[in-house]
Amino acid sequence: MELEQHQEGNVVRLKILEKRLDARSADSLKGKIAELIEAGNNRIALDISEVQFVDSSGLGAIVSALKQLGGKGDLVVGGARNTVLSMFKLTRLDRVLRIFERPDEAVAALAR
Amino acid sequence: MPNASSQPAPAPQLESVAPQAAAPPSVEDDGQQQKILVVDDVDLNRKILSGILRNERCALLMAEDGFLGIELAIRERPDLILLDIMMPGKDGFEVCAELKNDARTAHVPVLFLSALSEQANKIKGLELGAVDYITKPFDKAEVLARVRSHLKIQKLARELIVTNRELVKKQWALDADLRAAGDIQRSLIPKGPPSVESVQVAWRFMPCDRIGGDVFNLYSLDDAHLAIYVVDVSGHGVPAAMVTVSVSQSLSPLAGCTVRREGQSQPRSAIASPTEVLDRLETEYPIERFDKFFTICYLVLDHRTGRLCCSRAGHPMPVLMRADGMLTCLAAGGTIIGLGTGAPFEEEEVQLRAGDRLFLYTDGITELANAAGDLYGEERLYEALAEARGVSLEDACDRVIQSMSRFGDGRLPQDDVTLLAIEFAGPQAEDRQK
Repeated sequence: MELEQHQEGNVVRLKILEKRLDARSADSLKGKIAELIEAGNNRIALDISEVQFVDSSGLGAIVSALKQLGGKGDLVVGGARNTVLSMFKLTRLDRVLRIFERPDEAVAALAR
Repeated sequence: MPNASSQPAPAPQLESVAPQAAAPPSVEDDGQQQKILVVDDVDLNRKILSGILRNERCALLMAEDGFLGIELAIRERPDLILLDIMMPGKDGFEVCAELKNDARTAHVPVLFLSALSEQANKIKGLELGAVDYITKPFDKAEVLARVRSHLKIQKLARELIVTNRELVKKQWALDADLRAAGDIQRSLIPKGPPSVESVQVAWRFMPCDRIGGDVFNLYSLDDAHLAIYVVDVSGHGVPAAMVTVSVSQSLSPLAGCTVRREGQSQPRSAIASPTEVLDRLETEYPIERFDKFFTICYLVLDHRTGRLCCSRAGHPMPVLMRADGMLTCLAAGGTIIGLGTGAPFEEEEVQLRAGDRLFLYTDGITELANAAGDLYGEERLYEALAEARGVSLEDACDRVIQSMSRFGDGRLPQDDVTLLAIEFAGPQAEDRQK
């Protein structure tokens, strides 16, 4: 899957450049985040502003990354479009993950 | 199955000329010496070819005219035929045409033996189905190169046929297994309507590949309560289906998840509430267990009173259509089972009245994409449900499937689709009198 990665202070901004975050792309996202965490990055801001569709596999990948951090860091989401945001709400993941309107806000929230 | 080989040999004179059954290229001789048939009326040509091919690891068969050539081709099933064009009686073109028209020999590659000047003949030969030609006078290196390459191709082709046949066999076995697994999965869903007067049900259960990650059920917990659930395991196909088997077992009344075991005297209090059931599933199915997570909608309906208690874990919201047509979604719940987020589940209670309908479904419906990439979505589903008010439950299900199929322009859903429709006929007489 296509990803763009920027180190901003102690925060990694990971931008997903795919339109669909589904069963096909979920595994590689999971793998990429696992790599980042293993390399010692524990503040990850996921920029999903390009994503137009997310299914339960995509959501699962994000949450399993959050689980992998195991409270020793944080993973937040920024830039969710309305359709994507409604999936987070429908599955109640908006109560589990911090979701920000803009990607910059997500990065800023972790930089504090 | 050909049976000739296992039968006692017939009388010798018959055996030598008995036509072989029409069959695809033989595979039994795989690994054996390959055979080359030379058909040429000129003795010298046969001798020259025989000399050139003497050191090749193959058997040489010689025919001095077209009639004998065809007979030998049918009987011996050579791997390659070197065929002269100009022959008395039956010329090479006729022989080639006959060989190509006979299922027993059609697959055997034919190389024409043609003089350099016969350009038109070469083309005609290729049109008749020959694979190549060898020019006369024979050049040893050319003959060897062409013969070797065509024998090699023929050998590979036969190997491919064998491999393909094995693949087809394996595919059959796999298909049979999948069908059997699909049948097992179908055994998890209800066989028919519940034997409860006040409740009618209809459903459409459509795994996208014979077997899938959706499952649902509806059964009596005691004499007053029905458990109703729809589950959607992440992914589809066999792995997801296996998890559905496990989950539906956990939810069976015998497993103690839906009915508490602490023998309390009041039968009703022994029914686990939806949130208790979801909590139990959350403990039982961490994602680490099967590398799968699932969404579920779980409801307990008191079919005597119409009191409904429901909760959901990341699952699309059940749609309640009141008898007057008003649609509401039952939102209470929590997040997907297996993620271990620790977030609590909530449940809500609703009083069903006579004629109220409840629709449970999986996201295979709302996430159906059309060619433009648009999703069917909740709005279209709600519209289809509203339009189906007043028709039977079965027809209402059909209307939804038709609406999806119109939207997708016949494109098949890429995910498993489940739709469960329930109608409450109203409280039973004894309860109304209370």
